[in-house]
Amino acid sequence: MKYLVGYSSDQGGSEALALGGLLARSSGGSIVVCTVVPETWGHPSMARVDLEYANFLDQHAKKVLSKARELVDKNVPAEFVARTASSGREGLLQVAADIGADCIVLGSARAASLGRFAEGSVTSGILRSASLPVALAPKGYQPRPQARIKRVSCAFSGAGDSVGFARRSIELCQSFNVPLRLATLIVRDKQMYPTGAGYSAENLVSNQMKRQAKVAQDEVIGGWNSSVGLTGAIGDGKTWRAAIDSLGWLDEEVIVVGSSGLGPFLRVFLGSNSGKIVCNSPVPCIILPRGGEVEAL
Amino acid sequence: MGAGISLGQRLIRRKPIGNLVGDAAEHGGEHGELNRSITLFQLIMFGVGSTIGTGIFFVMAQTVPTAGPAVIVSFAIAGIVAGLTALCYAEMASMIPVSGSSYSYAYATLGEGVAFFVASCLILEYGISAAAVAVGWSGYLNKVFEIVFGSGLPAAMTNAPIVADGYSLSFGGPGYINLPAAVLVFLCCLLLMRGSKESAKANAIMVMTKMGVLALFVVIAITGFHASNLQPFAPFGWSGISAAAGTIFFTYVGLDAVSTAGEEVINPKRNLPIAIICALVIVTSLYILVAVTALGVQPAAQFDGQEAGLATILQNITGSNWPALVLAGGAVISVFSVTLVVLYGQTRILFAMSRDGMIPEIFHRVNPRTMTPVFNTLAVALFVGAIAAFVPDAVLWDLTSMGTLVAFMVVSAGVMILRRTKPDMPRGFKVPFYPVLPILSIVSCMYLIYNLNPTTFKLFGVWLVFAAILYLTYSARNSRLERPAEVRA
Repeated sequence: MKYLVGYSSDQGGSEALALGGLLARSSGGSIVVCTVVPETWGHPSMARVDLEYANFLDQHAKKVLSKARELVDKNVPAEFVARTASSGREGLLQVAADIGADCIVLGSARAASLGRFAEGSVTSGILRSASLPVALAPKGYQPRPQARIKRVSCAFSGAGDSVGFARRSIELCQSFNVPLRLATLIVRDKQMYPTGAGYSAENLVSNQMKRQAKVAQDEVIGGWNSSVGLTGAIGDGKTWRAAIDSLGWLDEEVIVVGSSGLGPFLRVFLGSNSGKIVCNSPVPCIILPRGGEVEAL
Repeated sequence: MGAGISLGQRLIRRKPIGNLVGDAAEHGGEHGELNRSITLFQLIMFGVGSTIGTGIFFVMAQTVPTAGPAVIVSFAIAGIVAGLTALCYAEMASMIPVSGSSYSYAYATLGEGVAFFVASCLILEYGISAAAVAVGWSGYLNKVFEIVFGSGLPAAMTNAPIVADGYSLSFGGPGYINLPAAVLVFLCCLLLMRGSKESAKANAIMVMTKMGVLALFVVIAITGFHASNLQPFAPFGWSGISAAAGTIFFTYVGLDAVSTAGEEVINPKRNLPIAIICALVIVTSLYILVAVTALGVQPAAQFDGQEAGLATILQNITGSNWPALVLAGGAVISVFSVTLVVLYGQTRILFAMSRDGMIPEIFHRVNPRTMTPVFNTLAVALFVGAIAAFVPDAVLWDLTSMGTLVAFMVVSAGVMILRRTKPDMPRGFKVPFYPVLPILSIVSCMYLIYNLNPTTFKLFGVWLVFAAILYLTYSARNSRLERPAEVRA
């Protein structure tokens, strides 16, 4: 597995680097650390006005990459590349295509609260156009040195097509050699006031949904024929964050989230529910592109 | 599989309270912890919010021709009956430690047969009233169009093809479909499917909007007040007043929202009756103020068939459009929220029935993506939308009143039965002046029902026959209580 880490010389960059290192170490793969610098005028210009700027960018990229070299885990095979492109998104996608990356790893925007994720402009672009999985490190992500992924959770809505999605997570689990956990989230909606249907009508709906989710999970677990171990868990809370937190997470765990069925085929595209999971997850998220089936969330 | 159970036993079997608590538990666990959090003020606001807006915007056109200016008395009578029934309902609700609909209370205390009957009345109270409110909303929307664009929507798409001449129904008239009403129902259901909820805060804003536009109406209309318009006061005597009171009763639908709060209220023994009475006094005063000022402005004969009545009256007195536009706009916004709340209530009542096996399982399928009962909401949208599109509101108001009155009569009777059969069961709230108050409640409900028109009785009869067939062919066999082993599942 080849992980392409989108690196910038800030906290978000080093968190992405730490996640890339963890993923590569756990799967016996390698990382390619890439920093993207703005394109300068490519063609010769009068008095070479852009040359100084181009030199500065070059120096800057070198500095950034040498910082990355210091940070990266020495036991993980790593390459370092700088790419000029008109945008961070374009540069990363080009490099990913050139090196045949299996996954792009990105950090969080600083706007996120500690331990959660917020989309920056580059992430936002990539999350809506990449054709390979994207891994996102929450703010302040710092796995223990030499740690390995212990478990993969997969966001499992229980809709008809989420079984196929769970199966697509097998490959990832096999590469890490860890078990899979189906994670279903029940978010208790606000109760509408006033209502003749009583003041706990929404709990009725949520409890029913929980029952349905349990049945759907049991069905998948019952018909599971892969060597990857499978368990199920249901998170329940008043908000997405509470529901996600109620699941209980290992220190080295990742959650796999599907792309919205509304997005283009074979591309990553966050739907509204998966977007909520990504923003509220305390562990890194891996977003798979939309596959043969419409994804779980 | 419960093969040996007779129909009689089925009709009287009760849902164990443990099940009821489990179904509504906060974390889906065995026992939900009680969460008393609603204050007296909030409760009064819930009562006022859910009551005003269903009818006062439309009911004058319907009832003034029946009762004349004496419709003011009808408002007071309907208000008193609503208060009596709400108090009885509050006692029954307080016997069960979770909040639910009158259906679920009846199921836990009076048995499956009564519960099913109450539920079929509740469908009239919710489904039909949602359609009626949507039809009234369409009138106000049309008014806004008229004022803003100079002409309203074509009559063919704002009127139902069925017309009510008096109360006899026939096809004909200018309309093919009441499109705005149907669209409103579908839009509300779309919001519900996507999981939008009106919060307590939104409710408070809506209450203020409604009270604001009604206050605006009163203040402006009082300038055009002529006492001579109130003469003759009661041209049709008591029969007119009583008949109008029956119709008007539906404008108090929603007061029961206070009763269902039961166990969630701080100090229910004291606060429930205070909240019911305060909400009732506020609502009744406002209704009567609106009615008196409206009646003072124009002769009783002019009310007949007046669409978007309150806005039209404002237009007539002021000779200017903006007050009417403000009122119509306020009505369009706040009635929209009422429709949303009522439709929500309907979907959740069907959800609870489906959980109990009374109606097919698909009504409690929750879509895992939207986390809402999508099929259920769609079914309600089709049913209510079709009624709103094709049936005139005159029939709908009366059917709503009928359903609500019958349901409350059963609840009041239930209170008396339970005092005898389960005297030791703890009650968070007991009706004062027992047994006079429940008896009065039953008698007054009967009185209002008796005065509703024959068409309503016929339609109600047809509905009950349909409900009975459904119960005998489906619900009795599929009830969750048929399968004791799965009761806790």
